[in-house]
Amino acid sequence: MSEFIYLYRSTNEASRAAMGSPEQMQKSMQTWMAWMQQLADQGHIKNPGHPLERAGKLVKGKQRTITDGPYAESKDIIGGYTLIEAKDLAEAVELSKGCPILEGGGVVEVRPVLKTGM
Amino acid sequence: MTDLHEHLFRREAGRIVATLTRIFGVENLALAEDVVQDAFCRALEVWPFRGVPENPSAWLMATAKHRALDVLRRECTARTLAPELGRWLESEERLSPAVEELFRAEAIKDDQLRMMFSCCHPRLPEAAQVGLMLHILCGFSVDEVAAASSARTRASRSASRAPRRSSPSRGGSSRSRTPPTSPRGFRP
Repeated sequence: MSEFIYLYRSTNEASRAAMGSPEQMQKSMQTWMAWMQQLADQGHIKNPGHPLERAGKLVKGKQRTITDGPYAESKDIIGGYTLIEAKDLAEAVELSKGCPILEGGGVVEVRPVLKTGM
Repeated sequence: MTDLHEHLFRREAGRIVATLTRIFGVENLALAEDVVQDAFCRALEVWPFRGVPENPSAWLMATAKHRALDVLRRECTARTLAPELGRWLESEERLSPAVEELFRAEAIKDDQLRMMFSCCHPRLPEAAQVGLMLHILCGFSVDEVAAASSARTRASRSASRAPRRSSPSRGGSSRSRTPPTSPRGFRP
């Protein structure tokens, strides 16, 4: 088994639009929980990870210029991450297709964790 | 992990909006709705990772309360809020306990009743009163209310048409007017 990181990316607008009515919200939540639960039941979740605050700072270059948040330069904000175990990249990608963020126009970035062993 | 109660968000939307409206004033209903939306967004960001909290209602209410305090601290000068807020906003020591008090369970029930009266303002047509209550207090979206209302209108029209000959000139009576398409513009 190899390890992969899912980075959940979406724009502020997209994530708010996906919310809609309280009932839609309920459905989104149920879909998220069901998807996470299914991955966990199949033993694919190495670590459920964390949600990330949308606000933050960027520290840039030799000057250590500090600016607000990632939003100025990237439209997609990383809203959280999960550490996944899968056979290979193909399986990790296949598993990510159930992620509800995709319904709202979001993106799951699937990145293999670089093996550091010899 | 706790299961998600059916219609949790719909139910909580009404309770939280009623309480926030008590704080922000009914003319800032849109602000109250934004804060609710923020609290729900936060739940959607956090719960998938951490699981549904033991008391989801309390979690949502507490998140909305913190957000409301943020808004009050930031916007107190920019907006006209509920009159008594002016006094609380004079000092941070008075603000938190005052808001805390408004978020007590009994206070929330009073707020729901108060909001019900606001929705029933006599200047509003009956259909709008019902529509507002369904939207604000029962957590139905404007689209859901409109769909239910037009279905009801269609049903009552065909029912009234059935027993006697139709009179097309009276087809759209004042009772069947559509609910407000944008309760955000609601001004009692």
